[in-house]
Amino acid sequence: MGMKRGDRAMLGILMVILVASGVVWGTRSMTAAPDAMTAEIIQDGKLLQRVSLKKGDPAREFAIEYKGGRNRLKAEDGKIAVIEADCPDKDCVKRGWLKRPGDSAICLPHRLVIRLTGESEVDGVTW
Amino acid sequence: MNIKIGTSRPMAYLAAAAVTVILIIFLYAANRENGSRSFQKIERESYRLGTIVRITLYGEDSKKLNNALDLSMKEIERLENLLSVNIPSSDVSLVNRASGEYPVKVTEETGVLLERALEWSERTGGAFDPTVGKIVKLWGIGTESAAIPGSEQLKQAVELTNFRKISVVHKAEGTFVQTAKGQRLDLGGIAKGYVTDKVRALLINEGIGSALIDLGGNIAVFGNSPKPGNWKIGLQHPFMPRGEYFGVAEVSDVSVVTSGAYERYFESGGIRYHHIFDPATGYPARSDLASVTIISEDSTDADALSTALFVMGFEKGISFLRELKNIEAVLVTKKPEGTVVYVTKGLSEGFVLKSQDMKREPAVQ
Repeated sequence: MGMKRGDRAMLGILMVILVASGVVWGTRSMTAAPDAMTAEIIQDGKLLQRVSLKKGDPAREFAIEYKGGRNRLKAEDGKIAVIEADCPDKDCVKRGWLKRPGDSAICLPHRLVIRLTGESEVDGVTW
Repeated sequence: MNIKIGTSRPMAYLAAAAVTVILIIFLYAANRENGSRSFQKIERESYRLGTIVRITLYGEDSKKLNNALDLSMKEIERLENLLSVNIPSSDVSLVNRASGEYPVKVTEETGVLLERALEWSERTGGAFDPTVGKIVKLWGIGTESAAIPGSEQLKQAVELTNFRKISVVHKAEGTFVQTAKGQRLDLGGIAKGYVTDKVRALLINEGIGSALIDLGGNIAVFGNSPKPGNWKIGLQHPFMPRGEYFGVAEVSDVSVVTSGAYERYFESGGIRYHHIFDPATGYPARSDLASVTIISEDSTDADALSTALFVMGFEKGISFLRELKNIEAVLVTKKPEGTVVYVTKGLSEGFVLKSQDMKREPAVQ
């Protein structure tokens, strides 16, 4: 088509800018999975505390009391779990580590919910 | 001159295109940040109906959203006080205390719900039965005193489990319910669905455009999902911890209810006894289904049907589904060759299997 050298160079530069901005934008919105998350500890519908979870965090344990009942929680390396509970079914302990946004563990007898903030793949889970 | 124009034209087009694309990207990004400020998500969680209830609303007017949440929680409390078998002053408890003696005046609402329960009892040949209360009480699953009942006691409880012995009468003076002596009404298999429907109606009436109602895993959604596309509802994996799902239903304006043996149970002598009873035997239903998910516009129906189909088992359940209209289902069966998932035709495109350890059979119905 008889393009001049300068035109071709300009075209090349524009293409590079386009592709690069596309890549940057794409990766920014794709890798929304954060290194830091927050676990919300909710009892009887009230937010008791927020626990920030970061990759590489050392292990720490704490207990949540409920009318003589007790759940022990452990947070480390960007994840959190109920490791001990004195309720009969221990559903919350069986749940294991919560590590993805939206993950939750529920202890019905102690009216306790532990939920990671952030966008999950699903809007809700039936059970 | 001519040549020069000829060569620079594609350049100009390309430059214009590039600028446009970059502008669109910036506009989109700016819009997203802006949007999150005006369009918000407000959520409330509480312990009600013996479980965790969570209502999530989306909209722009936070005052309106909060007000609707207040009203929803009040509505749930009101209905719990009417329908719970564990609250001594509830309609259901009043009926139970007067069993075999006299007709009890209840709110019209309780009467109508009971009639709907009885209708499903009839249609499911008793697989669903609101008079199962005696059996539920004997086993005490979910309480500290859960135990295998004696066979004589159980036999009695099975005899008392008979929905045909209930009468609901609407008179000018009100609605009256009477049960046979010793019968115990328990609306646990339908009440959560009913409360879901009532809350949804309330929210729509309050002008809420988009919401997710989650009453202990009974879910209903309406309006637009906050993310592009339909709402994505995970279905609890029957063999994994609560919160892990085996598949995702992509739906809008429906209720999704799952029943399975994993929900509540106790173990004795290495055997697991779960909380969904076969009214005919008084024992936990020995179903070949691991879980049943019903997707229906009406949550009351979905609740009753998920329980009934679980009790019926796969073959009966599938043929019963064929008689129903506008009801979709996901059935998980335990087979010698592994776990197989069946999805009804109307949902075949809206269901995505996630679990690697399950096989999906072609659509049924």
